[in-house]
Amino acid sequence: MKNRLKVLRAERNWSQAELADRLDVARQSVNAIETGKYDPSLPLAFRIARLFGCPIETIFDDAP
Amino acid sequence: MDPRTTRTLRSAAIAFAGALLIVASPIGLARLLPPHSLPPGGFIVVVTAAAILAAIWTIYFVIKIGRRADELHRTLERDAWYWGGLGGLTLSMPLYAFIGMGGLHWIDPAIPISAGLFRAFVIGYGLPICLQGLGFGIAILWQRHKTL
Repeated sequence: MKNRLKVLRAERNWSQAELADRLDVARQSVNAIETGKYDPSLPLAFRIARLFGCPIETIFDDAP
Repeated sequence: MDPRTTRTLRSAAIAFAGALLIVASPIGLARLLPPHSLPPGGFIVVVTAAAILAAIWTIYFVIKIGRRADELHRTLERDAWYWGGLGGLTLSMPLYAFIGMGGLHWIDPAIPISAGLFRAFVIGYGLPICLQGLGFGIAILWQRHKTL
């Protein structure tokens, strides 16, 4: 699944570690989500959406 | 290394070292006692009790580590247990047949073969497999009860 996590993070000048802290996950998890190697669970996707203040579907795109 | 990983590794090391110490301590203490000071079977009971304590100790840390892990690591570990465990069990089948049929004695005649050894091998192999199957059965029933 594609996502805009890296862009959103870069807009806020956050490092992966900072974002991981805010989401209460490991830094490797942020990296895996950003690179599309791991799709987060629905609760984590909601946490990400809330943190960036945008709807989930504007962050994650399940189009092939 | 991030603090979460450091904490996890520290907990795993404490779990492993502690469990080893709990199981090994009665064996060490028994050497200090005069011979035959324990009643028959007493040593077996003490070591079994120590193993139960070690299992409880390990479970405590496993739960602690599991709760602390983030979802990616939990997912990776679950997948690794499922696929790795399945692969290991599958691989064990031909080895089980080979060793059970006396394959080691066939390779090296110095390795003894007897009905007692065969029985010990069958029980040693079968016990973890059966308990694993039982554990899986209980867990899947519990999950279904919770979810469906």
